[in-house]
Amino acid sequence: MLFILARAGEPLTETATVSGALAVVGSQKKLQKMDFWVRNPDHFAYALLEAYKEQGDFGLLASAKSIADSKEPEVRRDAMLKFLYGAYEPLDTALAPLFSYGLARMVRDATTKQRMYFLLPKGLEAADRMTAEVPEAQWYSERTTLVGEFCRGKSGDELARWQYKHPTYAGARNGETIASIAHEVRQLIAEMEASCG
Amino acid sequence: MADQNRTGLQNPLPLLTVAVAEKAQVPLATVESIFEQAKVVEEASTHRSEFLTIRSLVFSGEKHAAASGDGPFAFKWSDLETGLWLVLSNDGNQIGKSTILEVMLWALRGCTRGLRPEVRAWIHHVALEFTIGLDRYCVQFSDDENTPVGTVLRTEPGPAQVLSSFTDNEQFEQAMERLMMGRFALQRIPFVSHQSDDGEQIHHTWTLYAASMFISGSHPAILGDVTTGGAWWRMLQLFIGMPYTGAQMALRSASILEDHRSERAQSSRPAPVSQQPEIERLSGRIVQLETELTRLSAAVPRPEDAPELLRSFTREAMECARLQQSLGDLEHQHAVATEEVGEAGADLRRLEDGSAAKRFFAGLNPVCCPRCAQPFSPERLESEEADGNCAVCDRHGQVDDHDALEEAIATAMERLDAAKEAEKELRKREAKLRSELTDAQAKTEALEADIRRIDESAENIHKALELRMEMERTRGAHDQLKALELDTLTSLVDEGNTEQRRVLKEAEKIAEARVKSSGAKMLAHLEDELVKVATRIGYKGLEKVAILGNKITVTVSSISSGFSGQTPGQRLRLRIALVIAMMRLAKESGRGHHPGLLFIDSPGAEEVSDNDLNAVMSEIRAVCEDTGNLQIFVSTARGTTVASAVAENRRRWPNDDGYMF
Repeated sequence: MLFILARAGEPLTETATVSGALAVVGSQKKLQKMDFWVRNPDHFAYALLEAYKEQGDFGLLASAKSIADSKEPEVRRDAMLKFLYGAYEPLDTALAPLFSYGLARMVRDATTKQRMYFLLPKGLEAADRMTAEVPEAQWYSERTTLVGEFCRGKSGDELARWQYKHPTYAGARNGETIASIAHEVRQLIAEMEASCG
Repeated sequence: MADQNRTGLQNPLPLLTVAVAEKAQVPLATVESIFEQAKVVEEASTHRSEFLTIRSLVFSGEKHAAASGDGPFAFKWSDLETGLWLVLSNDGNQIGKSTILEVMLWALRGCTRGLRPEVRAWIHHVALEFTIGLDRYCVQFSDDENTPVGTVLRTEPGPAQVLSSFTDNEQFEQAMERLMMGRFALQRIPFVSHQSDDGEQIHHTWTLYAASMFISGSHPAILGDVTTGGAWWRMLQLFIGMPYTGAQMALRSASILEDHRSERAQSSRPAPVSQQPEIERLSGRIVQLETELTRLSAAVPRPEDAPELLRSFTREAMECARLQQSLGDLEHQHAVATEEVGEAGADLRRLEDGSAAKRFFAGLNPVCCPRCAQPFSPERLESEEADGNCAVCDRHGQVDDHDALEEAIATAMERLDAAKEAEKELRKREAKLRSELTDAQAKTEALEADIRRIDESAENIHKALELRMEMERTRGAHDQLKALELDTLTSLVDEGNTEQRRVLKEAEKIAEARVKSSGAKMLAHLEDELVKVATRIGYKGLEKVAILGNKITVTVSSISSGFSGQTPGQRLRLRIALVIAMMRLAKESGRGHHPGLLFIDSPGAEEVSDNDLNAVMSEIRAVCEDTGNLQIFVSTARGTTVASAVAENRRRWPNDDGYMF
């Protein structure tokens, strides 16, 4: 969560009310969607392929292929349940240490009642230091950076529509684990490569 | 030199075949082959003249519906010898005179000439004795319903000998033909019959020769009664034995026959159409069919291998199914193991990530309550440093958590290693199994292909059968067309058979020239003798008879005319005179082929006056006596007129009932 806020958070806006905050994720939904892609590299690779089909950006295809060619879809997978609005997991426990250590802060918008998650300076400093000092943290830093770039400017609802594009995601029943699509993604990439010669 | 000329040795004639080969400029073998085919014989010997003398005649039977009255009868006339013999009546006709002569001729030639059928029906038995040279013969036969059954015997010299037996008309005729043609060395007279399409060479034989010995009626020819084909001229030549006559006749006949056949072939043959293109097409098709049949017969496996192939296929297919099942199970196990590796790795990663995060965050101090976000009191932080209890939840759990985490990581690593090992093992097994399956599938596919080929070969058997049938039809058509083509070519070669015809014509010319040159003197002698005899027997004013080919010119009182231009009496005299002349020449030269027998039926019809008739008969008797080799039977109803011409024992008068028998 720290890395999502630190690497995928967006610049503050006029509505941001926390003083000293460095970045913000504007809604819980968006935070949940980004968390899903970080924890499910196969689904993220599928989203990259869909974007590649729309935009023709080979960087997206290369990123997707890099994920598919690695063991990430299996080893980095932390499955999530599906609820009414897609992948969902209570964030309180995960966010509690960040709040307790003064690394991040959650504020409800007075008007929209949406939860907004702010990265505090100590949070960015902790993320940077972890990236530098803790090897296990490097992957998180890089992946959340990539996810942040992909999600930049998109709302939680827009991201949900992306994720619903895959039938496995869309078809998962409420309360059930959203299954892996690693095999399908690898096959899709192989077909695309074959068709490109 | 004079001796050489006399003996003819100065310019001896080469063999006819040699002369023809030289003239026609063809190999001798070709001429010999053509001569053999045409049955041309070059005489190498001369026949010594013989004469036939009837010694006795007996015939009997039973009359039915006869004017003379019904009932059995028997006629016997014996002690006959050469010379003139008369069968007489006084103005009585239809009393059996001609029958006596006709029965004689019947017995001599094996078939009747002018014997009336109702009279023949009366006659049941006939026996005729005659002599030729030193031999005495007897022809005896019974005749029932026009079917003669009898024998030809030689009764002298020595014991009687059956020469031949006969049971019908044809055999009787053949028996007499063999005897007479042999005894008188007579050659068959060839002529071409145009009855069949191809023409046919047939021969006049003894029947014709014998008929020429019977003089009766209108005298259409000087010899015999057949006017067509120059038959009289041919007989005359052969009777007097003119050299090369037989060869010339055979050559002429063969030539005519070949001309006729060639004309028929030319007119009936359609324009030849070459079958070569069709033959070539069929040949090509035969090669195609052979190639196709060879390909079909070389197909393996053969249908007989099918049972073993099917067993092998079943075995391999079952092995494939088993391997596929095993592979499916193994793939599932492998997938599970791979998943286990992933999950184990994920677990380990989570633990390691968690441990690292825990260590990192342990270095941080909480600043507020995660629940209410209110800052902690300094005492809680101090307490944590002092006794290690958590400033947030006041638990002493960091050490415990660390140990538990380390243990969990170790367990997770073991799990991951075990999962990897298991997955590796399963991967190896899967690869092995997949290889086995690939091999089994390859075998199965090979067997399946073999079975498919057998299926195809089953079709091939049917196809091969059809091809073989087509092959038979094609070969048949091919062979027939080739034969047809060959026939066409042969026909074309036949056209080239003009070569054969050319040789025949050359040969005929040479033979004809030899006949003329060698026979001219004989013929001239005959003509002279003919004039003498004819004059003696009452042909007044006759100056010359010229026989030129098959034409006779008679000069009377310096006026020349043909045979048909003579009066019946003149023609009769010429006919009688010719036979007498021949026999006189035969006696003189010792050679000739005429039997010296003559039957003259009713000569009085052509004679106006009794004196003339008597004179004729008297002269005939005298000539016969002079010649000594002639036997002449004359029947006439003017008995009183001619009776004195011969002695009484040479006359045969009717019985008391007015009939000869």
